[in-house]
Amino acid sequence: MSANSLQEKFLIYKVRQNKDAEAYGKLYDCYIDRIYRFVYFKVSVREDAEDITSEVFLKAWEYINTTTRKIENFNALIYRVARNSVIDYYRNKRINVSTDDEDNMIQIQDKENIVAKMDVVIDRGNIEKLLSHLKEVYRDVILLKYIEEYSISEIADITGKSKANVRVLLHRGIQALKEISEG
Amino acid sequence: MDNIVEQLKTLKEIKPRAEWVNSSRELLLSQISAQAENSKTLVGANVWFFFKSAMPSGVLRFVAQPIGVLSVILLFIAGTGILGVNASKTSLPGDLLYPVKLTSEKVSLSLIINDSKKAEKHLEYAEERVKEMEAVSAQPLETQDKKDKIKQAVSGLMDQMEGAQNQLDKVKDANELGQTENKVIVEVALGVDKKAEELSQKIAIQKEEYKEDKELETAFGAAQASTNQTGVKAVEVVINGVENSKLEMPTKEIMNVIQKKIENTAVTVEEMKKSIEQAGAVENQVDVILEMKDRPTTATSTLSEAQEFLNQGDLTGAIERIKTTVGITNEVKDTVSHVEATIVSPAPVVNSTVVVPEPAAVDVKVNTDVIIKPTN
Repeated sequence: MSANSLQEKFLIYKVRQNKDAEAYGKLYDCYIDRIYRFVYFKVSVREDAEDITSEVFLKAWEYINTTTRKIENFNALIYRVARNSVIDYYRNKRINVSTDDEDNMIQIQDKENIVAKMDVVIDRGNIEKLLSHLKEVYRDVILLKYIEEYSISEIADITGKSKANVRVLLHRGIQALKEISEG
Repeated sequence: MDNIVEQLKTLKEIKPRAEWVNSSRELLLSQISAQAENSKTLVGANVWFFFKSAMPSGVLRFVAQPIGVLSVILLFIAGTGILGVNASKTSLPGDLLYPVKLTSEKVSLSLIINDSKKAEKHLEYAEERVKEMEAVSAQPLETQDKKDKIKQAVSGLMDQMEGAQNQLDKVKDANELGQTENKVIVEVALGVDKKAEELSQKIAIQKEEYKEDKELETAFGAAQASTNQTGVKAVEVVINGVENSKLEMPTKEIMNVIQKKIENTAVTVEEMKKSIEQAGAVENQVDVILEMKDRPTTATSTLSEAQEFLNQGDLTGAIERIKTTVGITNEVKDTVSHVEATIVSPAPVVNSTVVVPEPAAVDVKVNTDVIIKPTN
């Protein structure tokens, strides 16, 4: 089932109209891997990523069944819920992390934090380490484009940015990644 | 650039653990199903939309005010939920609020994270099913109605036992548990075994009461077998916990628990012998019965081995043999039920005024020869 397909819209209809748990289960099956990855790249700890991802699907269900707004795009909705849940997670942990603002970078307080962060990712592939040093806004679009293989238009819906902006961010993100990898 | 993109694509291999995906899905669906069940009562919304579109606005305003007031009152009652769930606690199979009771149990279970505590909760709900059986049994209902309700409670009990067994399996397979965690697990598992023991006795009473009705007797027999199996699994968890963490548990207490398991299993073996004899009297089933002929001997010798292991202090060996024996008796029970189901049974008689006998009155003599008493 591709994102925002007719089948997906039908499932959303069943969820809204009949509170159909089975239909929501199918949406879960379709999105669980992507949302987990999206969260995992932001928190880097498997257990935390699992907890947050579970929470995301429950929150999205509650939103769908309480909002009076039309759900145009479940894909964009679930990623938005995931991003907000990660923000809550860091807020609870009192860690300063940029979210929407392109100009904000992860605030790393001192060198010890960098070392600790490197320790966490030491066993993962090189590219995963490089990604963790990238601005979050670049990382998101790169993840969505090259790992989840979304189109520019879909990424624009998910991130709430214009298509032109997404293209620019992708270009800059890849350049930044190259710079980090070269030293 | 291409190299980086290729490397990025390899990150797609990062996936959540399949086990977590399944358990998280199960939990999510149980949570949202509970909400969906509750929302089904609000069918009035659809009627209202139909009414709104069909009537002129003047008529609409005329009826809207009293309906609005009434709706607020009804929504308050339905919306609080607490009243409904509380009222459902005493409901019995067939009652309007019975599904609410089962749903609230499912929700409570889904909120428990600890596997051993979950098993404990399953037993609590299994006990509720037994109480329902007893309550329905005491009611002067039409025969078929009563039978259906009892069967519903028995089926619910079997579900709870299955759930408890699954949780106990998970507890048993869990690795790297600390001393404190193991101690809690052992205590909870001992409680589960004790509860299973109590329930098994109560089911035996019901089974005896309805022995004239083959269908119900078989259902109770299956429920009792499942309950006994839960008890055995709980003891297995106890032994596992004690041996893995070198806990200083009262060994004598655990040995007594295993001793009791052996004695109860001996009762089941005797029941099995009797049921094979009875089934042997059925025409055209000679082959099946011949196949089962040696089962009691195997069961008896395996149980004797369990006793020997216990006498030597090998708790794991003892519980393994008990499990094997229980497996044999369950297999025979299933076969005998199948044989009996092929015979046209007479119309069932369900009599609510039957005097309930004491558990000891179950018509089975224990062959104490098969039990080698502890040497100490």
